[in-house]
Amino acid sequence: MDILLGAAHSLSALGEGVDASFQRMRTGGTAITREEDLYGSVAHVGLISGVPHSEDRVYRLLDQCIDASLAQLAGTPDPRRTQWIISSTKGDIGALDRDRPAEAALPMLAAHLRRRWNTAAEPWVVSNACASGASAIVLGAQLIRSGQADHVVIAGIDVLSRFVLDGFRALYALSAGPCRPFDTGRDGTSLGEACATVVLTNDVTLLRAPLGHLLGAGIAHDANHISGPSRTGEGLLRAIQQAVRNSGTAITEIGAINAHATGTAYNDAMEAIAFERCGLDHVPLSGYKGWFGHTLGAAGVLETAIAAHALQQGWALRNEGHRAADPALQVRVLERDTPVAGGLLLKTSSGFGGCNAALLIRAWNA
Amino acid sequence: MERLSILRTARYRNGRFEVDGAVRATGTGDVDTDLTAAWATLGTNYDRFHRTDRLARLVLLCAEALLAGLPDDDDLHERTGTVLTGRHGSMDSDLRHYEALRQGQVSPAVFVYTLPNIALGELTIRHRLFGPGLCLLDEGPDTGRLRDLCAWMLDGEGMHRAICGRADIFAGEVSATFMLTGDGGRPWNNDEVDTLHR
Repeated sequence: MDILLGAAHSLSALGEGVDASFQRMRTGGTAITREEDLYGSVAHVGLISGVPHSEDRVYRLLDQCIDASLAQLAGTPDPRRTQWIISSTKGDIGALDRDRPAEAALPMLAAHLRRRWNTAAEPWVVSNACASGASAIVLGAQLIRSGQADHVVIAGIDVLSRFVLDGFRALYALSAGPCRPFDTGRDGTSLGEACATVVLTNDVTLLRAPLGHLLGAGIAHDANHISGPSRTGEGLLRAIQQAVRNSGTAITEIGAINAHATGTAYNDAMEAIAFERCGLDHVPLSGYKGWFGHTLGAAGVLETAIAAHALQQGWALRNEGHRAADPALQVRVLERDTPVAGGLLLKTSSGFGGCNAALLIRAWNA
Repeated sequence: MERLSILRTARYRNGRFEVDGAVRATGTGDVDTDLTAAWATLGTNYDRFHRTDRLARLVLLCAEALLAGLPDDDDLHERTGTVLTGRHGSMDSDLRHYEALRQGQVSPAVFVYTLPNIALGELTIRHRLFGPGLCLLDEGPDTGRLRDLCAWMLDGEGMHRAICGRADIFAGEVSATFMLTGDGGRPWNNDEVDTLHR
């Protein structure tokens, strides 16, 4: 079954829109900024601008992003054949500041979508840590493949909060400057915030400008440590193998990798080991967190949308922040934007709890 | 879907712990004491249980009961899928982390549990389960979705079994409903699954 991906939209530190983000990445530098007083201390973060810091900010971002995605469709998808998925790690965790803990529960996001768009089915909420977004796309593909839906609207969202920032700080996981994934001098990640949406469908007439074919998808666990990546890349290896198996393609067809690439020493090393074990050490690779930070539950959706758009335009974008290759990592990190033609894009995400997700995408026009 | 059957069940309701309907523990009303007492009935030696947060302990407890007696072999490690659902996710640890923030004493050991899927991660670590796993949050158990998710794991992903669990801790209420699904048990029955979740 041909599952198409398109109607993508995004709000991140790069601004609004997937093409606008792509153009900014082609011509500009990182959107991560140094904030002198973010919750009382200095931080390098990727912030969304232009959306007020109101109590309902999470919902405003969702509304704006989903509306923009739906407006790109060539028609109205049959609501009885449409499923909705949200990916998030902390949703509206700001409700704790308002002393309303019940409103911080993630199903509140689903309830909002149901009211706002009158969805026929209860929206799903996927929370697989930093692999939430890619895992939501894996679930979306399964809903179409199994005949439970013809169309799936997927929205990833997480906003920056003291709750998350101070937690990552306590883990000593934050970089002293904008993060530099896969670089020999990498010293942690940079947090970001984003809302991003994509639509999956088996109906090509629904998409005015499809981004690509979602050929394969896989998820697997490391079974190793709740916050430390596997030293052997077990889960990511299996997720990639699963995606390749159910894609009907060969791993040798992969022409570009968009990695999770947090910029922490152990995450990037884990990914490099998994890619090498898959025989992908020669494939051009980059991560996007050096552009807009680690957007947690939104990351998989945002990065998939931009990477698929770039592939459609014939490009694999560079790994922003990369200065010197880490000799311990057997991967081919892109230091400059590179033309790619015909090959498959492998998108991977990994998260705390040892979860991993892999997606295989072929450009629409390939 | 033909081979989707229920092999074993575990339930926990405020200290009352049942495995396949047989009561193992009845509870005292204290969350931590009750989880420890229920765990003790399984006779398992796994010290990490006591170092995890309450949601993870609840998940580990029920999964331990489901997998008791199964060979600890490659088939278990490579062919077991997992689905964890719940209403409040990691809220119990969220509130602890939030209080620590207020006090200016943030602990990484607490913060790391402020993701609902960490309990699922603890389960995969305990039993070395490399298979696919998904953490989903919803208003209440949806039997049809649970059936479809288990069928996906078994038929779509080639798993030999799937652990399908629901766990919640919020405002003093502690509940969990876990099923081991796969081939060779009693056929999946929506009424039974509905009843089990009540």
